[in-house]
Amino acid sequence: MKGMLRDATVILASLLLLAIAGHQLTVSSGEQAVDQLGQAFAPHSSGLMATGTGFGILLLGSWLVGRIAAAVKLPKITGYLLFGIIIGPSTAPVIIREDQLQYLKLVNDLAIALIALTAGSEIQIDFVRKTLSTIASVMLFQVLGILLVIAVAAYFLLPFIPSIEGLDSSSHRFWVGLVLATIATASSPAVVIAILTDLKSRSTMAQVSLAVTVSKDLILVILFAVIITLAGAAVLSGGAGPAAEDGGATTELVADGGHGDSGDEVPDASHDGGEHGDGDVTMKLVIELGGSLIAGLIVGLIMALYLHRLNAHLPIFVVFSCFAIALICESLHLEPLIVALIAGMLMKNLWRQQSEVLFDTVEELSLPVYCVFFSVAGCKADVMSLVTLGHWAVLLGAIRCATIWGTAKVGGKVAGLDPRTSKWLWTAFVSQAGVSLVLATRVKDTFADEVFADGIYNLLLASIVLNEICGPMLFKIGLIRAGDGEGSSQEPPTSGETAADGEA
Amino acid sequence: METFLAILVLMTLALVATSPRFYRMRRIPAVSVLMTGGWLAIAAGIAIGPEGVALIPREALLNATPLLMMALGWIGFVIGLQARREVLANVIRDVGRLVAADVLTSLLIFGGVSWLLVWLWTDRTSLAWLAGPVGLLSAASLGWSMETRSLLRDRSSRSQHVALLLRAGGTLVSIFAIMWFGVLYDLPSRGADGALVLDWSQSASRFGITVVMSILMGLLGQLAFRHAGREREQQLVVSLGLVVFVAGLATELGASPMLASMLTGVVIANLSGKEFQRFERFIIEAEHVVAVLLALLAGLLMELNIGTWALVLALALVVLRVLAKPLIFRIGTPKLEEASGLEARQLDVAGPVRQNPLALAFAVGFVLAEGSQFNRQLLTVVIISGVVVDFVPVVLSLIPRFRQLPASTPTEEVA
Repeated sequence: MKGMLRDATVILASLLLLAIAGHQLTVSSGEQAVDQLGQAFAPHSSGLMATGTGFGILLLGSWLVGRIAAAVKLPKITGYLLFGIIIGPSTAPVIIREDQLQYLKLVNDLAIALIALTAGSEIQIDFVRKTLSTIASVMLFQVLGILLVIAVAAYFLLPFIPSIEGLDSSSHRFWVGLVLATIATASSPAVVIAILTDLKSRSTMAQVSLAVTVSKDLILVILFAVIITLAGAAVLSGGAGPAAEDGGATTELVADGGHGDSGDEVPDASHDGGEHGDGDVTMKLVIELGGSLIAGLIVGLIMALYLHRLNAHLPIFVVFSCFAIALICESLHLEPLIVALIAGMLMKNLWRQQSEVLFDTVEELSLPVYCVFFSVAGCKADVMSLVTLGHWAVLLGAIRCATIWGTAKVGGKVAGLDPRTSKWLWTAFVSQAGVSLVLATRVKDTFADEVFADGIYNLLLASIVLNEICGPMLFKIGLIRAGDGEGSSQEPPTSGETAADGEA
Repeated sequence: METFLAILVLMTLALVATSPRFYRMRRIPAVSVLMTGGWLAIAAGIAIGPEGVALIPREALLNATPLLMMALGWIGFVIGLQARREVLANVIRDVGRLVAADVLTSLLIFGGVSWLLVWLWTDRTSLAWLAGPVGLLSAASLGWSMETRSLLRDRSSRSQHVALLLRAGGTLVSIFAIMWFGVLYDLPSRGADGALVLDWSQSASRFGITVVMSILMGLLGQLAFRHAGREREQQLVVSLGLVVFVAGLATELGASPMLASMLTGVVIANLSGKEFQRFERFIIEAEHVVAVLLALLAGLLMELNIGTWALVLALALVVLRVLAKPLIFRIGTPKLEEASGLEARQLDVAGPVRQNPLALAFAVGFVLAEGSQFNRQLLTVVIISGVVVDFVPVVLSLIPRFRQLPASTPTEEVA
């Protein structure tokens, strides 16, 4: 441990020094240049050229910090996230700059598809069929519970937060509270998958956690679109927000605003701020979700066909497939998360044996993907907002945690989950990452002209950073306490199993 | 509509490429050449790129430059790993003369002709403007394709020996090619007015920093590999991280990412233990990924609308290769016994003529660093010369003097 710490420190310090030196010595690129034929062209920006260095630091640094985290019994992804937060633009802008993060979109798109493929392969149709009532019960209790509790809490707390002004009207407080509550329902499937992969967990708790998180994410896509549209219409004077002024009649699903970092995608519904009816929004969402479903089936079929016929060069095939998913989704405004998830589910459940080798390859590629993905998520966390609004974020976070705990317990009990799983299931839903960050940005965009916009945004960021740090640790503890260790595998409970059966 | 068309094209390509019938087509020598050289991937790149259905716009590619530079860094890294002390000591004894003959003669002949033709084409005489293109074309001319399986028609010990010389010599020449390209790539800098200038002190310091940084990263990498242990995924993270970091920093400094990563690879190869050698076998599997990616990228970035001079340059390089390379090979291997069979003779001729795949990497790197029209035309020149010389074995097989047995297919070889 001591030796490892020393080596890690040496490597990290050298990396950071080299990167800083590199940034200082960067060849300046002018606005225009001419080639040998005398034709003008635009050279790359320095931000773009520095992205490679930043990417390398994120990969090596998060790997090292992840190992240190594992050595002190923390989840590796907490290490990745912490490293991202430490060297991110809000903490150390000399190493990773804000403008570099957008260029990592390609890696992020690949990561989303890879993580979703893994998630799909973890969801067994038999299990979902048997535990449909459990999943539905836990999910519904949780979504409704959080919406209610956080909306009420926010309604009463918001006037006391000094940096949030302009929420005097009770109607405004109600709608903004509801928007905050919607974001509070989000949790991160990517974190759940990463922890499950880390612990090689296949237990009931693992499978229920994954199924509920993914289902919740799908529900959230629709819920957020509807609520932000209604809130936008109610709060913004004249019903047309700044986002609507750009003629943005799109409800296209955006990939983390172009910088996705958790495999969670949300609709850019704020662009409809009050200009379009709910029917329009819902119809577009249905088309996009339906399209994603169909695209996922087609992608799954093509991948299965490849495995059946050639089954060669699998790393190439996996990487190219994930890029293809990202490209297709961007072109057709589909959700890569759903497309890859469905493709993974289809292959794993219909062609279990043939697809085994593919998922082994995906797993081999997963470590670098997780390192970059979560460290980039950490980079996006705004530490300053945590400093200024930390105590309020802690209070809201505590209320959210308590609600998640209560609703998961009640939902589990109603569905007949064994008490041990019921007791610790809530820990899976605390983590927040990419989806929440994007939603926060959308909220800020929607209410950009309102005085409370920045305050609300900072409060959201502070809460997300907190959940981002605490969530993975809690889930790891929860899994271990629920009897889940490395490689543990329990038979899923049948729908008729009772709590007593579980205990027995 | 264009998007749907592009997706249709992609899906059709994917389905065709995965069909067993298509795989069997490799038995046809011409198709085998197309597939082995990556030319089909280049064609696919053209089809889906800005010159085709424009599924992927050029700007999007150039925005992904740092990540694509990583692919170039990976190539440099893998080549650097070949430069293990004990391997080099053995190889140099056998193929040293061949490597020296190729490096010196090719740089002189191809460098000279490229200099002259680029000068005539661009009407620029100063070293600052010519160093880059001449460096690219002369580095691209070094060596030959290390793939010899498709040329091995007989199993004689002589043929096997020639194939070995081609592979070992090609690898060694590639190391020199990366160094040569790295030095010339480093030479010019952009002035405040956007023009290329020669600033020797800046170039020297940039080169020095790149070399020191690469070696330092090699040392740090060795430390990191020790912690990664034997687990493949841990080693993958470390390798990827090192390559991305070194290539990224070199790109940021305006130096060659391939040279920087190669130096890091050399240090790691000579300091790491057996665990790493096992991992090498795993990362070599990624060669396919990088090769296909590079070929696709070349197709996406190339400029189809090239002028007369570019075409003249490409054809001149083809003629030079066909004439000079077999001669260089003969000069470099004086002790090699005379070929007795037609198949062996074809191996001696076609083997050294085919272009080194690294040429594509150099040209793609050149465009990624600066996506000017001229650079894209140079990429097209390299692609054209590569395609044409790759067909030399096929053409030779049509000449009665060089006619040989039907080409063996990979499937048959495995069997």
